[in-house]
Amino acid sequence: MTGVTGTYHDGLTSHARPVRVRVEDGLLHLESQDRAWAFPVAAVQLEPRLGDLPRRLDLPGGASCLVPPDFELPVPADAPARMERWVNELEVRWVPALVAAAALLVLVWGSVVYGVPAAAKVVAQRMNPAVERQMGAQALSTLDRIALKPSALSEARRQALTNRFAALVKAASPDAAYTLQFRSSPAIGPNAFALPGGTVVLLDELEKTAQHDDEIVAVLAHEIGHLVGRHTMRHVLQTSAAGVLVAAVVGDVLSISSYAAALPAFLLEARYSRAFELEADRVGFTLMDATGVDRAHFVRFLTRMEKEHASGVPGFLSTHPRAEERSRAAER
Amino acid sequence: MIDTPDDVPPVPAAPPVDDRPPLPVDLSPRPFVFTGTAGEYFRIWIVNLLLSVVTLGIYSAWAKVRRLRYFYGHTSLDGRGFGYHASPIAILKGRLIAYAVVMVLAVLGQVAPLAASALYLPLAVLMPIVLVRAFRFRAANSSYGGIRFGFDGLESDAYRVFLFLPMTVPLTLGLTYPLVVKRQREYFVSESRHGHSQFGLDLPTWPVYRIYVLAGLALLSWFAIGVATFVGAAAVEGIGRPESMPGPSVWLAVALLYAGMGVTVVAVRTAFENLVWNHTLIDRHRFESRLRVRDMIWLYASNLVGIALTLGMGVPWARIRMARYRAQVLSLIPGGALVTTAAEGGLDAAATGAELSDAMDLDFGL
Repeated sequence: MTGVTGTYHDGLTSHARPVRVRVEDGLLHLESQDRAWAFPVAAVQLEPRLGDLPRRLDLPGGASCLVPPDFELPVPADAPARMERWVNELEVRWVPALVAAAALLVLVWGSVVYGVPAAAKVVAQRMNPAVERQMGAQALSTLDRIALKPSALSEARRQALTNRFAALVKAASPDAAYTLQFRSSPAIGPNAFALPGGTVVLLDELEKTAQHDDEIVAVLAHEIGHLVGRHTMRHVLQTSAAGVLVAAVVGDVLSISSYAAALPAFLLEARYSRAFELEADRVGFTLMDATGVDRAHFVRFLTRMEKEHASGVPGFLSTHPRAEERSRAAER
Repeated sequence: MIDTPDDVPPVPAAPPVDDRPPLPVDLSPRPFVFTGTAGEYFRIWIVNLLLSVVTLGIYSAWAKVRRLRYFYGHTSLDGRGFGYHASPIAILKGRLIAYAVVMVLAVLGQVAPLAASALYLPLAVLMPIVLVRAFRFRAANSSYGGIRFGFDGLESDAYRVFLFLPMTVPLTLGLTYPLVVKRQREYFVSESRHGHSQFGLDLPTWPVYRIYVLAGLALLSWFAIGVATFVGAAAVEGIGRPESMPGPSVWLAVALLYAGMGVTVVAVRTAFENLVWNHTLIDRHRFESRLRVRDMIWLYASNLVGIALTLGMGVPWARIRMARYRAQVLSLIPGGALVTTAAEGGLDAAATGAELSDAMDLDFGL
């Protein structure tokens, strides 16, 4: 007997019938123990090859026949069939699969580390500034309600610091409308932060911890760096875009895909945050140079802060770079 | 594409009568068997994923068909296999429509948030129709032993169980939630058929409620433990320094909460899935599902770790393990001869064509 062994389903019952399958003179012949069928080859359709799975021949009238994976019909394949044949060639070997894996890792890594931040930068620069101002105002009023208290600094002290701040802003950009706000918060401790829309908040606790006015000015220069780079907006954009990207690759994996995507998203967020800190440092250093503040003040302040507030969190989890790394950047 | 050219008659027509001698009926349980392997599927997955990425998602429709064909094709019962028959083009159309809707909503949300929120209402109203079409598509494109599945659910019933019934959940503070889940699953299963064999599902109310009551209690106690750890940590380490990282106990509290939630979700799903399978009938046959919560938790947890350690490359391995385990613990308990599942030829094929013309493929986790 010639031909290959197949399994015939008549489409009427789920009974499986072993058959011999062969093609002769443009006809597909199926022969079981007690019966024979023949169909014009043009009237049957063979599903594309997939791994070691038997392939299904769809026969006229709803019947079908499973044939071995290497079975082929002597008809020219159409474009989709040729494409899937080519895909199958790639799928059955390890080399293309490993190349694909490497390409995909590079692609995802590249877009997450370079592509997404670059795109976020472009989008953030074109964003309506009113949106950022609103975000910032909302953030400040929320902080005022839950964490911040009015500052206890004297009017003269505030004016002096505001003047130094104005000099930094002027060095950054002549037409920037950044403002400095004073608050106090024992819970947060010695700190300053930049809010989207152009507000820097300086806490009394930082003013008290600083051993030199230039240390405060250095921190303000760093915060202006955040504002110049529109870091809050970019951070929001980057984190959400990267989250979507990672979820698209890893997601729909486990039905609890949010779990699988949570860890990479978290690590990415910390990574993006560290990159923003270093960028703000760089801008800050140029502002310090332009206004005659020694970079060493910044380094001294950071080192002291790190010593007093050591968190013991490993570097890749942290949202801030190590003071040591930042001091090295200051020396360049 | 279901290609059944009516103009080409089969050379000798297949006789519709079954004339085999009657066999002694074998009533032993038939296990589901899954034969896919992680290595083979990894190669298929990675090649198709890369092609989907470089074609900006266009190829993903083909990738989906190949993935489902792999999993269906490697699943068998009583020596006969399952099949997936969808045309990638039909899937692509559904995906393009879905992406278009998402894009319109996203852009409109930026430009005119009010108009965007106004669009959500018609979308919610359309949702049951879309669901029915997705169920129909999936069923009509799946087969077992050369015979297609089907879904005959009415849109009016879909509105009842997927739109109106869920509205009672907030009104009753969640008390009707288990009932809604039960009704939705009953609708989905009992409107499905294989050929002309109808599936049936009648879930007992109390066991469904029991699952959710226990889950609620478990979540509450986990939450209490998490909060206690957090408060304790706050007292010891001091919280509220946004510029510095929180201390290790806070991480512990967050990890505990996450783990507790994960365990609870897995336990609920496992219990519910068993309940559904063990009450599902087809003809005189029933099913037995013996999923174990600890096995499922182990699978989910080890899959998660495996995927994280391999930077996502372990996804195919995770899927194969899950499919193998699910098949392993599922069997069909025959209530009579198994070969008798019959569909009236012709009728089924024609109905399939009509169904497909207005069916749309979308992924729903039901």
